[in-house]
Amino acid sequence: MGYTVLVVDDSETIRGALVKAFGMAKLPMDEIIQARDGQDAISVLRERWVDIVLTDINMPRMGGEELVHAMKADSAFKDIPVAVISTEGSQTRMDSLRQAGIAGYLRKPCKPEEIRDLLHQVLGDWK
Amino acid sequence: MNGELRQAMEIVSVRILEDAAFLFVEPLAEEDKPDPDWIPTGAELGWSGPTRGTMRIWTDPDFLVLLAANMLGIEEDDTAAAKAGPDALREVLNMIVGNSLTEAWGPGPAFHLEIPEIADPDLLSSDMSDGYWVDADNHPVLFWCGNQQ
Repeated sequence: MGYTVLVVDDSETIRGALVKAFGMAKLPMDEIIQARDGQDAISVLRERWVDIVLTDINMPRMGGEELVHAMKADSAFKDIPVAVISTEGSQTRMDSLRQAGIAGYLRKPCKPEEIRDLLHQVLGDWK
Repeated sequence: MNGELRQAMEIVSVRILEDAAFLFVEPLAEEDKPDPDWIPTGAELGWSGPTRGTMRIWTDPDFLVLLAANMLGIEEDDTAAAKAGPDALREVLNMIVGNSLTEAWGPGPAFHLEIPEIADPDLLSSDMSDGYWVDADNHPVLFWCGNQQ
C-alpha cells in the first residue's frame, strides 16, 4: 500500500517530471493527483483524501502561499502535510512558509532522491 | 544589463539546462550564431521586489521538443513532447530567473516572480545584440536580462 500525493503546479511539464521522479525514486505511490493551481487543489481536497500536498509557489489564480494559508485555516485540511517545490530561494519567504506550517521545501530543479528524502522526512516510514 | 545579474544568469542558465533538461551546454561560437533573420520562439518573465527586471530566453522551435522530452523523460517523437514544448521553455526560464536572483543577491531578498509568457518577437533584434549565447546540444539558445535598481 502506498501514498496518495497531490501535485500542484501550473506547469504541465513540471507535474509530468515530478510523476517521473516518483517512479525513478521507487516511491510507493497509490495515486498521484495533479492540480494546476491552488484553487484546483482546494477543489481536489474537498473530494479526496491525500497523504501529502506538494505545491509550487508562483501560480495564477491561487499561488502556493495562499494555498498553504487556506489549508491551515480549514479544519478539514489543516493536518495534511504540505511541502513546497519552487524556484525561489529567498530565506525570508522560506521562513514565512515555515511559520505558516509547511513541512518541507525543495528548490527546483530537484533530483528524484531529494524528492524521495523529502517524502520520507515528512511521511516517515513507508506504509 | 546589470553586471551582477548578467554574471549570475550566465552561470545559472548553463546549470539549469544541464540539471533540469540533461543537455550538454557550452558557449556558442561566434560563427555559429544565427543569422539576423532567425525565427526563434521566446519566453519572458518579469520580477519585482528589491529590484525589478525581466529575463528572456530565445531558441529554435525544434529545441523546445528536445527540452520537453528530456524534462519529461520521453522520446522526442512522442506527441506529448511537442505539445509540452512551450510550457517547458517557460518553466526553464522560471527556474533560471528564480535561481539567478538568489545567485546575484543572495538568499535574503524576497522577489515576486510573474507568470512566464511568450515573448514579443519585436524584442529579438535588440536581445541578439547584447544577450548571452550558448550551444545546447547543437541548438543556439539566447538569454537576455534587464534590471532596474
